[in-house]
Amino acid sequence: MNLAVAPYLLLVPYAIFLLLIGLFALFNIGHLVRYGARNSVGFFVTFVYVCGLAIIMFMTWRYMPALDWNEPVPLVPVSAKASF
Amino acid sequence: MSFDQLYRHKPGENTEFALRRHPLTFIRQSLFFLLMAAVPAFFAWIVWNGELPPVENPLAKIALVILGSSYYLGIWTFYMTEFVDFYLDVSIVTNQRVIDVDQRGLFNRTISELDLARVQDVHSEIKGLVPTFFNFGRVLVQTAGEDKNFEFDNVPDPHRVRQRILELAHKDRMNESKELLAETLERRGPT
Repeated sequence: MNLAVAPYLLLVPYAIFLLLIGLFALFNIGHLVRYGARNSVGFFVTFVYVCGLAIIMFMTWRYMPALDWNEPVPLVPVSAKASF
Repeated sequence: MSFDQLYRHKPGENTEFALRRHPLTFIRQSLFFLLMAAVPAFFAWIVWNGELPPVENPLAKIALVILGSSYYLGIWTFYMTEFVDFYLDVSIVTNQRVIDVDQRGLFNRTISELDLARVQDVHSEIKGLVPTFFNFGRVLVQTAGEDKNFEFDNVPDPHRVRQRILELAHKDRMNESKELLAETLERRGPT
């Protein structure tokens, strides 16, 4: 028996992780703003950090395979199964 | 940088200078981040010619992309947290007191202060090749009695900092003595 899983299910733990990263990002930026770094350094660092996050997210989107996220995909590919 | 958010000025109090760790001390974290970022990219570049590993199963491919993305988001955010820790660790010396703000990670922040008149001795030290070359080191402010000693690590120009703190402490003690004398004379009344 070959189990099939809808690819979108893999995005659930990723979304939880993103939420956590978002929380940490907010804390980091909040600390800079709240504790006296409302200056060019604080602004520049925040800008670079947000740009970095954007680049990582863009690369993630770029490398993600284009497929139907709702269509179940077998855990073991059919071709690999046939070779057994 | 405005320090108004960090402490409330007392009457007649002015910020003299602020101390932060020397930027060179942040290089260790930066190198660690670069190394962590370079390892997967290096493998992808050398072994798979800048592409993802050739996996047939789309689920494995998605998992790989998600893992890579999480890894980079994680180290990038960790690096930012390290910077916040570094940048918000600051000691402010005013003409009346020393305020030490100690940021440890995101959820641990300690603020301590010391009256300059209670400063008994200030010790400065530059130890090692790199600190000697770039002139940064440790300043230890010792206080009278059972008060906590203040330690500033890796601050630029520690010997000058020691000198400035001693001068300010001397001035503060003089001012306190003058105020005390004026108060005593006032209490005694005209003779």
